[in-house]
Amino acid sequence: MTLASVPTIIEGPLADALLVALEHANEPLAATKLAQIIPLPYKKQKSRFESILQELAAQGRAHGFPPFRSRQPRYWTKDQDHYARALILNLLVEKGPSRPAEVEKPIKSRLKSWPKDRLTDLQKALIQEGKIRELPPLGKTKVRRLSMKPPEPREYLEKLFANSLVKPLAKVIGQLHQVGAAPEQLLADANAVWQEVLQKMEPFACLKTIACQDRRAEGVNPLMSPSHLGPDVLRTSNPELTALMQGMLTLKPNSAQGAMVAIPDLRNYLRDAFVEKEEFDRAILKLAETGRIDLHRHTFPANLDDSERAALVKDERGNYFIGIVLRR
Amino acid sequence: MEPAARPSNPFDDYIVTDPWQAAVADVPEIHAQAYALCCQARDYVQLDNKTTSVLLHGAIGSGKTHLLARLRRQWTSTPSASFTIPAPGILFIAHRFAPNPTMIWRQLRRSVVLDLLRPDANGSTQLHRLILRQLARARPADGNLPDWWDWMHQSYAGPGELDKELSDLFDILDQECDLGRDLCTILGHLFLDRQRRDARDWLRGSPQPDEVLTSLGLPRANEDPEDPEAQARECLLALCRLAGRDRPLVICFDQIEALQIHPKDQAGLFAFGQLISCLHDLTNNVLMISCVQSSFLVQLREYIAGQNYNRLAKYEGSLDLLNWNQAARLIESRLNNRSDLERQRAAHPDEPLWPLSEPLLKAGLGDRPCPAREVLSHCARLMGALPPPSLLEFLTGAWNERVEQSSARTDSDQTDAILTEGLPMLLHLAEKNWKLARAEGEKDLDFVLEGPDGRIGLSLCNQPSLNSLAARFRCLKDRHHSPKLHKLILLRDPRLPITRGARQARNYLKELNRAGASYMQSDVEVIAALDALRSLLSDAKSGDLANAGENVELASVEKWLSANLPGVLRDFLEEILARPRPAGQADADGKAKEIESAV
Repeated sequence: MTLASVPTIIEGPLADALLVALEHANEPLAATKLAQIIPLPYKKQKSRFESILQELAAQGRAHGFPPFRSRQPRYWTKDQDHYARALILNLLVEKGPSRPAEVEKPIKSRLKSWPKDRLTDLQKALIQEGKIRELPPLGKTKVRRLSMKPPEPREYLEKLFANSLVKPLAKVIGQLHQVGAAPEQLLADANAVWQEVLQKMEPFACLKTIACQDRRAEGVNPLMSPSHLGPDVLRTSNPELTALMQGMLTLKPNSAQGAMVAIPDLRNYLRDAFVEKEEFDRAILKLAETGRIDLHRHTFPANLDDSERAALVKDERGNYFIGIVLRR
Repeated sequence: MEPAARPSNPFDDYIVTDPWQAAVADVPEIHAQAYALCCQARDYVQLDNKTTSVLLHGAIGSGKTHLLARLRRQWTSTPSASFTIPAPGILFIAHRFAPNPTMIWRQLRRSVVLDLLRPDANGSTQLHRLILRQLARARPADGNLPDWWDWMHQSYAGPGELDKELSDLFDILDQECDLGRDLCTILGHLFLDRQRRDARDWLRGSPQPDEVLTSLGLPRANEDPEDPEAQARECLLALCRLAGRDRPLVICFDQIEALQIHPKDQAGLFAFGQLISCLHDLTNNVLMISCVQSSFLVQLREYIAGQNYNRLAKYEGSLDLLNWNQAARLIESRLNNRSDLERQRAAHPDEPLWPLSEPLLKAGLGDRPCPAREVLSHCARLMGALPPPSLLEFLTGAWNERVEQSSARTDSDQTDAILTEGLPMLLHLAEKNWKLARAEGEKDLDFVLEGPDGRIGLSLCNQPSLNSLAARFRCLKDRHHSPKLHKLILLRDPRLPITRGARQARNYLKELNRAGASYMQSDVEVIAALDALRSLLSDAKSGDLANAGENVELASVEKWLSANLPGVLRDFLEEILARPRPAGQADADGKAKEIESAV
């Protein structure tokens, strides 16, 4: 007859120290790794680590993980689902949009026995929670990549151009050039055709209407905006807000990737569209309320002279704002 | 020994002052865009073998240093991985600027060496791993590097054999990377763990006495020393070359705002622009990541104009202000990180932010996105953190703590930096009638002060090498007849005695004294107070001074310091600005005696 094993109660400073070290770790750790980071007095008891960790796992105070790189089992205070989540999110932060097979790879190597259907469920859950999203297929493939960010339109458009447009376009332009068409004429016509085609497309139609309605923003053509700007960034029913965002992107194209635009520069650039200071300030604060931009406060406005302070935007609480960033 | 007790409030810890600090909870979604931008820039350096830069703007408390800490954790590979060939190692350096444009390269050299020699959990350093890789490449060797090195030890076990072999390998590296004989000698010492302290001090640019130089196998200090800024720059560029084309050296620049002594000061930012330009043009494996406050946006662009700004901001991004969803993720992550709350939190599955109340949180944070520090300090208060001390109490505590830290230092290798940074700040605070002027063509003067009593020249004479000190005295003696100065002051750290044997230095000093120069040995207490002054003001300028999460404004710190300036600093300044005595007359109040005893 075999006796049922009764888990030993593991208490005391060594078990606590191991738990604290595991709690602080970014990923599961093997006993040898723990010995490197645990406070000095406990290092000497290294030989007891494995048995204590096993007991802690049996009690549910730690979780066991299969070996990775070394032959030793690893332990962590977080469970396998938590680890898989972290692996997926870290990969997407580090690598950007990735194919499902690429997402699966680190999990396969680090969580060897983890069932594949759990991974599928976890991906669905992360999508439902809004932590990650599926992107439309890129190029000729049908695979939908996973990402933490919205798709980069430029990536898709470049692929489309490279795959379908560049070669035939170059051929026709070459032929026309050979028979005497001037390069200036070719460029102007190509641009004009391009603009006409875009204007007929559904997402851009509303921009054209907005620009025409708002005389003050006439100098700013939404269709001349940097091509990497997603249409959703500019989609707003308010012409003033559209003019502001368009102004930002024209003034600083990389503001679409999060670069900050100086409010004094934007004010100066749009001085014809917003003649009055207050008008510009109101529009900026209103745009901030939509959640599409972040306004960054000036920390020491008292150090500025009057003209420098006047170039900033002031809100009703007396805050002065110096910079504006598009949120994605 | 019991493990260190964790703070009882999960939100107590809301300032990351150093990217090497142990990690607090990190939420990858926050600042994901800025992080991705840095990854993109890093890939560019690796793939295109060209130096590039990232400029990140962020509000005070938005987590600039936290992001740098994330980069450090994610990018510095584990020792086991980086010990094999080829290794994906990245060298990571974090540098906080000090308000000292005249020593900008020396300060950077110091940070680079400090981080390269920072021991990891195994006691190994970035520099050791780098040298090991490069030696193995030069030989060439393959496989596991520690094993190879063990094999080298066994194979060259005879007396001097290993040294000879190493010397040959360093010679190859020198030819490839143009390291110079002195640097190769020092790298050899550090690699073999010989005369570690002296070699480390040399590498980080601390002047060394002649006997130490001799024992390191280096030539004694020259009587006409090279410009120390140029030396520091050359040493840094050599270390960049040593890192290799395919291995990015990431240098993170923090606290750039501290380069300004006053809001309209341009000298510091100009020097920063020059430094960026030099690193950009003369290296091919450096990624420079600069973090600045949003408030600095216009000034930075104005003072680092043209091509230098372009070199600083090849990639440009911003740090997130947190909207409600991001704030909630941050709070949840902090709470999840606390095992002591786990059981209680499990009993409230529908309240992810328990024990905090969501309506209270929302009411306190308002409807506008705000910096992470604001979120965390608000949570800390909701979790029962004590109300912040008064500004007066806080500043008094911060001051005392810094003075105490600085007083605990026994070495003098930071004295030049402290005086060069602290004196202009002290002058700006306490003496509005005196201004700093440019010491053009006066290479042995560190400051020229202009005021109602004329022009005063200050020369920092803290050379440990008495040969170098004699050289400086000689130059000062030769130039002191210049009519442009009304007074010349020689400042020397009291911990650096001029020994009886230093005849030449003593004679020159006597001659200078007879010609009217004043010799001042500022008390250690003064140096500690100046050090506290510079660090408090620099932190305030950079938004790194917070009283329970509330940013303490520079104007408040300046006001407090003006009202509470310690007597030792007032006396020190008074002594510097006192009317000059006529040449030929010995210092009053026993000064002459002091000089006699000093020499």
